[in-house]
Amino acid sequence: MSYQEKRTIVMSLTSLVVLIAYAIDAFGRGMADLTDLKAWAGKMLLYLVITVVAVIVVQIVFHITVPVSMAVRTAVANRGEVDEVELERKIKTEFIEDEMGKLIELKASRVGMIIAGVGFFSGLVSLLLEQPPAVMLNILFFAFGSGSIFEAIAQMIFYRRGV
Amino acid sequence: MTDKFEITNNIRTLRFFADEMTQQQLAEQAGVSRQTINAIEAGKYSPSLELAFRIAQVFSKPIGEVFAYERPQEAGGSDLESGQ
Repeated sequence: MSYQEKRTIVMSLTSLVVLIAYAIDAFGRGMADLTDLKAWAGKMLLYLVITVVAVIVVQIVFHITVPVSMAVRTAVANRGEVDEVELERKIKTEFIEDEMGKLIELKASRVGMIIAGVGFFSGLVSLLLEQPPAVMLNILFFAFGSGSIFEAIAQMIFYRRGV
Repeated sequence: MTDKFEITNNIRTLRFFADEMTQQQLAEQAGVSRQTINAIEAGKYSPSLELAFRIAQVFSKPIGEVFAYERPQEAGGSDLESGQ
């Protein structure tokens, strides 16, 4: 499995965990007050910040652990002897983002945008059906959250199946 | 005109004749990831013209000897001479 695939899995899992945490926090203790829009906005903003921070931290940790694990694997395979120049070149190639990676990212982001768009549409429909605005806000939040997860899944599929 | 053509390649064969060059080595020399070389070799990704030229340059061959544009039934039988 390549670095890009591993990174995609880790990122999507991070988004999924934060989304589940939000769902438990928001709806876990019985039905929340759907009229208090300020509280909902505050909660959503808080989880957006948590998502951004979590993604950055996970990305940094991942960016450090991958080369270390590569170095360890090389050392084990070569019984302690590591050609540093060769290893550095290997790591550089592993981290490279080339034209295929960019194309996959572009195609996958389209999938994410479609999910977010469907969510926006559903949110508007919910308002038309006289649901409280908090329902629309939640639909939007989950649509954008699941959009990023589906984007990652699409990336995985494109990496496996090809483009 | 409606016949479906596809891009095939001889990268595996060329790697073999280049002293069993690994995908990693080819990727390093072409400036892409190993996964991209793997996808191109397996026919899962058609490279840009620039990358195709870069790969051909690594093997010091004209692009026609590395890549071919042909009908699927001919695709399996392509060899180094197909581009000439």
